[in-house]
Amino acid sequence: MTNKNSIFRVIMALVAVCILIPIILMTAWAFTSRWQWPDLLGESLSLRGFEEVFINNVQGFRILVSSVFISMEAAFFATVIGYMSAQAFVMYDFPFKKWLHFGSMLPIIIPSSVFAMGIHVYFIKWGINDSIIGVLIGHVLYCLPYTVNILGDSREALGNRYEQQAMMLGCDGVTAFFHITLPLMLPSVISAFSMAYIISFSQYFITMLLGGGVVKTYAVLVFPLISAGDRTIAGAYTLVFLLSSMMIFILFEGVIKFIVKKIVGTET
Amino acid sequence: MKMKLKVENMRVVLSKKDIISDINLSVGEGEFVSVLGASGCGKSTLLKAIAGMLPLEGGSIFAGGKRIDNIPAYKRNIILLFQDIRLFPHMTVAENIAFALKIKKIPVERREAGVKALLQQIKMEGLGNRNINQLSGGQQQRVALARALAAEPEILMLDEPFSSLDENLRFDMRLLLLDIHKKYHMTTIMVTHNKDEALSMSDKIALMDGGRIIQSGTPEDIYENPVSCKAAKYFGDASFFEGTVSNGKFQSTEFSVDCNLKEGKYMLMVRNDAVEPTAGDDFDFIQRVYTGKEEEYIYQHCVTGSKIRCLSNKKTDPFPAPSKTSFQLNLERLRFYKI
Repeated sequence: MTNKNSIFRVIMALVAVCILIPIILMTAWAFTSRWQWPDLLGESLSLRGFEEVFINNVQGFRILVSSVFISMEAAFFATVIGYMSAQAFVMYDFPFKKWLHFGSMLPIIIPSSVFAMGIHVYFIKWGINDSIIGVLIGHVLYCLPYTVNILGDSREALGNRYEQQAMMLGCDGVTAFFHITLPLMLPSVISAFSMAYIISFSQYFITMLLGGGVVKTYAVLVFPLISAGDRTIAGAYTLVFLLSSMMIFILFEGVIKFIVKKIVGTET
Repeated sequence: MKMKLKVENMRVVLSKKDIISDINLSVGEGEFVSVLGASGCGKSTLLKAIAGMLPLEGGSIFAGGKRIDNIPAYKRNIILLFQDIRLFPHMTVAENIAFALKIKKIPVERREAGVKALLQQIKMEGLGNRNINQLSGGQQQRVALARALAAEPEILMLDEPFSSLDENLRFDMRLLLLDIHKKYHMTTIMVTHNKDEALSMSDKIALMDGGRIIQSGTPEDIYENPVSCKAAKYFGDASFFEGTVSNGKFQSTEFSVDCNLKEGKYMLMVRNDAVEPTAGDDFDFIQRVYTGKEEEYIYQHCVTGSKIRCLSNKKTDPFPAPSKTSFQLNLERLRFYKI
């Protein structure tokens, strides 16, 4: 048992290091003017990257905010639709269920460029290309496999035992969902939302293709800047990316826990 | 007695298979009815159908004179306590008990008073703030019972409520349930496969087999006068002998008994307390079964190999039992079934 625990701790430490090292490096780069090989530290501190993000690039902050809203909407719809799909796949029997479940995974099975070009053709037909709604639908479709999987596993583990009991105690389906199912599935809902948010927020190719350059998101803005090879600016943009995402996660977790506590927390 | 629940010709089909059919059941107000039967006979399905969790393929259900099979489960005011307890894990003991009251939008003060009274009733005062995972199996069962009572159901149904408890806890819970049943004058239906539980607790027993109720009546009636071999065999403490009746006499290899039956093939049921060892050597002793409160000897017929169970009187029958014996039967306690 102790041996297993030690192995687990070592693995967790390795994972943490793998996540933290790039963040530390990017943070260091964001505040450094020059950092030449083989110097252990950068030459001097600089806020040039952040000046570029917040002062020189006047559109940057506006794009960041609109991008956050697009991704929050995409994550919200992907989580809601993902939950409903997961509920259907797990709780009900219907013809072609397995095929439909497999179909829901296609956006991550086929290459994203093929997926994006495929739906782009239809969006042109429907007249929703080069628009926020098109980008939003594209993001939701691309996030759905993740949310369906995360919520499906959790829904299956939970089953409908507690909902049935709630109904015995006088709840209709909707009340049972908000009082019982949602609080019990909260960790999975938060995971699914966070996953969908980060996928949407970091989506470059789908946004470029479906938005046609008209819809600009943070990823679309940052990609050429990072490609240009200026690591100070890249570091600053990456830090803003990370911090804004963290803030959204904390905000979402706080809001949903507050809502659930309002509903459930004061039963007596 | 005023009728509280009436089930007429109920039929439930799941996966194109008849699970229960031709179910007719009447439960009076304040009555305690046990649905007894082996695993898989459809007892739990019957409760779920009454509670509204399974659709009926045929028949109807009336509660308090009102037809309820066409209204959703949450509006029936019939509570089913599931075998696996199902306390809400994200709520404390008090929150679980108060759940139905909150759904009914009862004011907080009345909710708190209700929870306090129920905690007292289930002898768990002061444990309202405990988490569910901090409770023992027996405590969880009591909280589930209190949660159901808080909803003030018209009918309380319990699906094998004590099956996960050890013997001592089970006894305590039986007493608590009967106490609550009487105090609240609750109409209660309990599913069990435990015959002792059903016999000791119920006003009426409905015995199920193969998705049908094969007999219903008072515990005394159902035990003493089972209508069929199946019903008799459920109680387990009887022996059966196949024979023929002719000229007012039942004749089998093992026994010959006077009776007042039409001619034909019959099965004779002999309870273990209706046999008395007598001089002879028809049966060989094979086993002693000691359960603490009673002692049984099992004998085997030396020709047919059929077994007979004989309840011993521990005070007067010295052990070891005679290795060979014959038996005389108490004619009043014998039952015959046409086969």
